[in-house]
Amino acid sequence: MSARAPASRVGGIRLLGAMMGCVAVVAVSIACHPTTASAQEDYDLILRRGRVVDGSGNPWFRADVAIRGDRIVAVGDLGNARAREEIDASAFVVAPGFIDTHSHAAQGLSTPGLSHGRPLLAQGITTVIVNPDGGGPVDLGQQARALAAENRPPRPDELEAMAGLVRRGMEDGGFGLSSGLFSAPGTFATTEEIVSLARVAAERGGVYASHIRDESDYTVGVVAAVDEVIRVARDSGLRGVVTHIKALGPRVWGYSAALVQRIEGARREGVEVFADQYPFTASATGLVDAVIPRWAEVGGRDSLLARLADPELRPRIQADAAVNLARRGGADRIQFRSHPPDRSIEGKTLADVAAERRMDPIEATLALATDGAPAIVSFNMLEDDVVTLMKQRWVMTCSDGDLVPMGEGVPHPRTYGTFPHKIRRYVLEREILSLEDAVRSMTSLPAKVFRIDDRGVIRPGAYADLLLFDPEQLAYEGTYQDPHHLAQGIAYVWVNGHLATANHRFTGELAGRVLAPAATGTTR
Amino acid sequence: MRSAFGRCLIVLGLIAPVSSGAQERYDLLLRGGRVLDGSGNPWVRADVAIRGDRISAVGALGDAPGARVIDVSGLYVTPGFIDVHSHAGPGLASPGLSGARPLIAQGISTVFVNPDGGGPIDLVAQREDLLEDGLGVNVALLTPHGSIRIEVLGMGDRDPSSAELQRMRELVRRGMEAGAFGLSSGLFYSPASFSETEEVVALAEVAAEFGGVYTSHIRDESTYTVGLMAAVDEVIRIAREGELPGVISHAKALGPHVWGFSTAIVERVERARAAGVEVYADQYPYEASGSGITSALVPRWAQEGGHEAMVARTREPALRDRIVAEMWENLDRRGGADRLQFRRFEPDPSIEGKTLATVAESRGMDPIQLALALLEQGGASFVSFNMNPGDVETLMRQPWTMTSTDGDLVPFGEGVPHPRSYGTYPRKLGRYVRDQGVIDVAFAVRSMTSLPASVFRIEDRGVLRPGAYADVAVFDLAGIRDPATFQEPHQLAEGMVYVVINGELVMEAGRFTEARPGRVLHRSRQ
Repeated sequence: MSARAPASRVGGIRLLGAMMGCVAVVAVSIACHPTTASAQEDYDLILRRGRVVDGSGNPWFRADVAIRGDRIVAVGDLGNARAREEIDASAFVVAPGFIDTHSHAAQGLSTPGLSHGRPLLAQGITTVIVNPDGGGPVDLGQQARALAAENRPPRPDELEAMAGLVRRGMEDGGFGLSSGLFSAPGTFATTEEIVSLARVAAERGGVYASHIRDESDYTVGVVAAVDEVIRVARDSGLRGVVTHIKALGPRVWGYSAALVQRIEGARREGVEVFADQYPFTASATGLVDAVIPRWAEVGGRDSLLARLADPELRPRIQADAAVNLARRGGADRIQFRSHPPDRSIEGKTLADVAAERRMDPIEATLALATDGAPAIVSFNMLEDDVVTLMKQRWVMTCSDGDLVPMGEGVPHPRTYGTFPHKIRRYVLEREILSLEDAVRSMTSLPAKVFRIDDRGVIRPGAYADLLLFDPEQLAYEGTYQDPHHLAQGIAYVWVNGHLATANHRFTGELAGRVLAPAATGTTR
Repeated sequence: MRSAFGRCLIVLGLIAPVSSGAQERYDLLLRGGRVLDGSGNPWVRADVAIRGDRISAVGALGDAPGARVIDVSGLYVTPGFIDVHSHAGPGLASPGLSGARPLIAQGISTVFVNPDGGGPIDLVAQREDLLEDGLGVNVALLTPHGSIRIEVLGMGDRDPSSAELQRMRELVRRGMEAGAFGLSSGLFYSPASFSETEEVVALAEVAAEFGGVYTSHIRDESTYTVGLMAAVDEVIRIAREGELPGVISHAKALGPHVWGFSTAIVERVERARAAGVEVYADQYPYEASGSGITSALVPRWAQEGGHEAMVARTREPALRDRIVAEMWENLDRRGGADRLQFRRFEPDPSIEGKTLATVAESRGMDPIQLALALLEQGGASFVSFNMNPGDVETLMRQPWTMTSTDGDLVPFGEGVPHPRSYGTYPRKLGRYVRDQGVIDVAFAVRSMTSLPASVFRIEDRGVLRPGAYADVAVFDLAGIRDPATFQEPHQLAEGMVYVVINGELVMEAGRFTEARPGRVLHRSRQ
């Protein structure tokens, strides 16, 4: 493999796309390789007679899977071959470990108490792609930092500096460029600015993944925002990913068909566009992002507080916030998940909190925004749209989840349940997808899109990131009020050939690596 | 809580520097195509590099000193197609046809021969025959149940003794040892139709020992004998008891009596798969099948002992009436005489391309009288228009359905063969993918490439990835088409631009190179 896999390991899972700032965190723990098979044994491990769902989308086939070191070395009928260990997999599906294409888990994985990634392993996730939405630890220079909060285009020298940072990031092993054009200050970036930066990422085969400018009808509208990703992909010559794709809010419900039509049209013309999605009808965001108008945020938080205190501007903010709240479906569709200044509101809706405080929801919103930056769950999707998008061949699975201490706050259940929930609800219960297609959207498709070689598939030569599970046992019992439950049903997990979960129990093994992309998007 | 540094643009992840590494040397570089790697994933833009007989890289490959570079932008680049049910074996073994042009023009790079339980028993000799004049495409062999039964039991309607069954098992074993990928059967045809399921299970067990597959032209695709559903269940039973993958060959619901039964087939296969039985199907994308007077119309009991015995029975007054009555029933199963069109009748080629109804009328005979008359002259083959478009589409949409031609390879212009011999793959891509949107292109290509490779455990083919064999099809989806019709089938498919087999171009810019890089594949031993 031309892409070196660094020897350092992080947590139970691999971090994909950690920034330079993460380097110090990477070498949390070094696990020993299992001793290699001795002369008497052909393999370290054979999984016997499982139903192999190899990631390709093909129907399962029954086969033995053999592992040596950190790789899969044989798939087929291995007859009398011997291994140090054998597991009867006949009651299980054998699948590649899942790849979460949009994860906020980096900070948690960088924390000693969370680096095991148990909530992720319990979902079968063996690789996460971090630093999404244009966020995460960065090494950007002061110029970009200064520009970031302002609503103006960069000067040529500033743009050149930003391009230089992107170039450096890509040269150092970045898998692509992420953007968050919905929130301030990403929202102040013009398409041209992004195209010029995406071109730099394209030089190195990078991907452009974007939390699009508008998932609803806040500004340009969701369709135009998808068109913007298409334009960036076309003009920069790289792969575009509409991340956590959705039609947000009653005003755009039903628009999933239009999004599909736009992306299919672009693909027909030869533009490489993909999407990822979490299988829930609620999103998670910040109360300020969701309700406060962007113009009020120009300049950053201090400017926002000043405008809120300005008797002339405050009514305008109130009026626009009321419209935005309506876009989200009203105050009873917003539920607080984290608000350190007042944890008593966590788990309650904005309508509840406003009623308790005898305020109208807008006044309550402005008061809470003044106190801090409350994190919310926003019930804003129609399941029909979720299903329409899920059926598309170019839609990957992502969690968009955090990795937080168990019991802290009331996070979105996607943090714990995404992958098993998708299989439980949309494969087994609603029969929207076949198991094989669902697994494809979690494995070989993200590997293909992000050029992660030798993962996301089961075949000789691929890394031994593997799962054993009985689909009927997959479950996530958490709720939006009570999300802190580990997903159930993933019986075994191997990460780089190391057993991280054995018979539903974590082994404590920390076998994750930080991956670097292949130079050419290929190996060997 | 989230690292709040800037919501501006950020580079996703960095750790180890990426070096461009030593420049690899390639022989051939297909640059800038829409690459469908054979999995169900949508296309990505990538270059495909070939060195020797293998793919050496897939990605953004930059300069390639020394390599032949072909710009394939705007074209789809896929693994070469694998035809899992082909009657091209005899053609490929003959000097004039071994170049396999009609197959290459469809993008086919590998064919499975000896289907329906037919073909030679001695696969070692067959391999030599196939290789004698070179091969345009790769060939994979099946060991044929029907031929083995005839070898051991003749044309009789009886069960094998235990010694005879041992002999049959031994012949299957020899075939598997010679590299066959599995056992084929045609339980619809006599004398295989006289076989009990237990006999087939006993032979399938031998194929299973070698990791082989069981493929079957099922006992009844209509309502002839046990009925379509029981025939599907028989494949499932053989797969379960023989402990090997089972394939329903050219799956269909044949004739008006069973139209709409495709959903029942799907239900049976899904239920079997849910219970852990590995069952698949293959299909050609037409509403007509190919058959002959004997197999489509004559009752099986009248066929015992072979063709001469059958003709003799039709002359016996006591039996003739019964045969005629049953032939009328069978004609009704096929939808009537205007749904049967002659494709090959050597004694009188003038009837080729005409329907049984037309020819009978012109001769002032009824269709069964005509059919019996033609049997006296050796019989005739025909195309049978017996499928319903909804059934074809339902089966096509299943993730376990592979693509096959069921086609022959005949001298250009000879007879009026089923157009599937020339047009199967382009038809599926042009008509069902591009024009009608029944399935999408990634799904279709998967059914032609990685799925058959997965079912038959063909290593390193059916996928585009470094290390796989360089079997590649490059085509223009907008221009792909199958001009072959039921009236004028001798027309090569259009739209295939480049075809590479084992690293060698066999089609270049739409022209045949005459290279013969095909191999006879040997099922790998683990």
